[in-house]
Amino acid sequence: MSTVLDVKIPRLQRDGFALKEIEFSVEAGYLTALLGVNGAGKTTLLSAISGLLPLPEGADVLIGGYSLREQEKEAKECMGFVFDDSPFDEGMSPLLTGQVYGPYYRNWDMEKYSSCLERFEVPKKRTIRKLSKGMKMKFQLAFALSHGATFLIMDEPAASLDPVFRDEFMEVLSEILEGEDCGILLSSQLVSELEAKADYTMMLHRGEQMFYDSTENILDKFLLVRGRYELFPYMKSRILGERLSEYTAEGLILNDGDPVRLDLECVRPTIEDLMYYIKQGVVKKGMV
Amino acid sequence: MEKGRTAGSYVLYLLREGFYRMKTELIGWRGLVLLLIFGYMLLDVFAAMKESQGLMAQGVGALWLVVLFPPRMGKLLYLLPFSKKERTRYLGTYSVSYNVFHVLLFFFMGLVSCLISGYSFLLWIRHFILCTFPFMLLYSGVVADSMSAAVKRSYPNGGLFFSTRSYWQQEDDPVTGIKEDCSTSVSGKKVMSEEDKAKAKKQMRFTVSAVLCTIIPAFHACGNYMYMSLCVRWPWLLYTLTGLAYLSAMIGLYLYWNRISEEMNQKGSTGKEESVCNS
Repeated sequence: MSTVLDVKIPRLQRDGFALKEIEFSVEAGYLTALLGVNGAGKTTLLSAISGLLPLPEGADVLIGGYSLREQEKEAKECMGFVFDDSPFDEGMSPLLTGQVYGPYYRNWDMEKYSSCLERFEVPKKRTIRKLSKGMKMKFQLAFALSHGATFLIMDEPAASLDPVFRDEFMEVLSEILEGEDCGILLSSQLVSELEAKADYTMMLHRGEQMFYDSTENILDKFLLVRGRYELFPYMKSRILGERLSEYTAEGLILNDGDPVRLDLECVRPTIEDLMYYIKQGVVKKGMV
Repeated sequence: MEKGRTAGSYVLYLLREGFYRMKTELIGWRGLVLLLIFGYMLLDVFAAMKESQGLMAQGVGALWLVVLFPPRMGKLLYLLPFSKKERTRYLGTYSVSYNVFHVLLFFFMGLVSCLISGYSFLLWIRHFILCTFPFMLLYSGVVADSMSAAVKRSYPNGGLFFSTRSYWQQEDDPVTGIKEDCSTSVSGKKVMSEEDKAKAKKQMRFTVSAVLCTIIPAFHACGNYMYMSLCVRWPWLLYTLTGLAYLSAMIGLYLYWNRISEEMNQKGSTGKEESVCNS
């Protein structure tokens, strides 16, 4: 298992918003989900990693072992990008995009690009502007795969795809990961879908890295207890946060092995649940 | 073999891109506008033959040409595998290629106009060098400024003329052009902070100056034409009128953009009403 991305950003200040103490890595063959509510700093972080934002003093991003600060060219050779908003000229066709921009990459393989486009059923000669959102994503993916990228960065790639296309897209990602020479960092709001697919989860909140661990580990750290409202006072000392309705209540507790009352339903939380409690301020940095 | 490294290979790649642009951009509405400009220039050359002065369309034509075909690169510039030095070199080659492309296209249109009308191409070039070229240099100044901004990443989308989209279609994020993280209100509308508002105002001021920079040559060309053809009789009046027209246009534009800026701030959007941040 090799590390394809290593991020260390002590602080990145930008227009009144700051990313703080970000430190995580992405391994080849694994999908890492970058999650957080709106305004958490996901896009800022992705911009910094992809080189769209200059890195501040003391920060560095290693892509495929190359420093983005010192060896920018080599680092970007290893990086493929898929953005919700395609950075390519929309007036060009996918084929022409490959012909014009592909050769800037040392390992560009036009044949592979062409076959990727065919495999993803992307019309080669139609202008990018006329492609559907899903096709645009697949086209970007084809471009990324054709220059031997070992690290793929994706910002909301599935945000506006219909469920069928989304499934197809995720299947393609799974195939890429099976090769075990490429790691993916993916930011998305489709938390429930990512939860099932992501091997690792990196959670951001207000610019801070709340936790970074394997998704399973993160979810195993907590438990959700549900039951009648009047039973909750007995659990008060263990409940970190709660969601109350008229008759029932739900509370988040740490899964520390202590038994829970039998008359309370006890389930593993979802990432969405955790995001809710993070926003409430009850799940804090360092809990995982 | 390492590709994409030398200045020569950049020129080759840019040529390929240039051919693509010729093929795609000249076919369409831009091509139509170009034909109109050409027609205008042709008529202008005929008029110049009669009056032995004029060539007003040179300035306007040059202006439209550069507005029609701005260089485009945008955030791709930072995503492709360039080192900082290579990026600067690429931008330089890119700018020079575009300027050369403009001048050549412009000369070609002038040459064809002169051949059709029988006007001396040398006189046409003389007028170009004396009156139009200085204002193309003004444009080059904007490009150079834009280029340095693109390298420093200090302007929206890396500078006015280095946008994948035109500058009036700026995206949310002033630096990267990527949709920006933002807080949303209950209704889903983007909520602007005071800093965002200040940023939007700053962008507006930048846009106003950019628009003013591009209209200067047009007004100058008009003033120049009027001076050449009529100033013998009423130079002071024409100067005053041209000056007043230019001044009013500047004030009008400033007030217009100011109003738009205020409206945008009131709506709480940087340009897209009811935009929902889906980051």
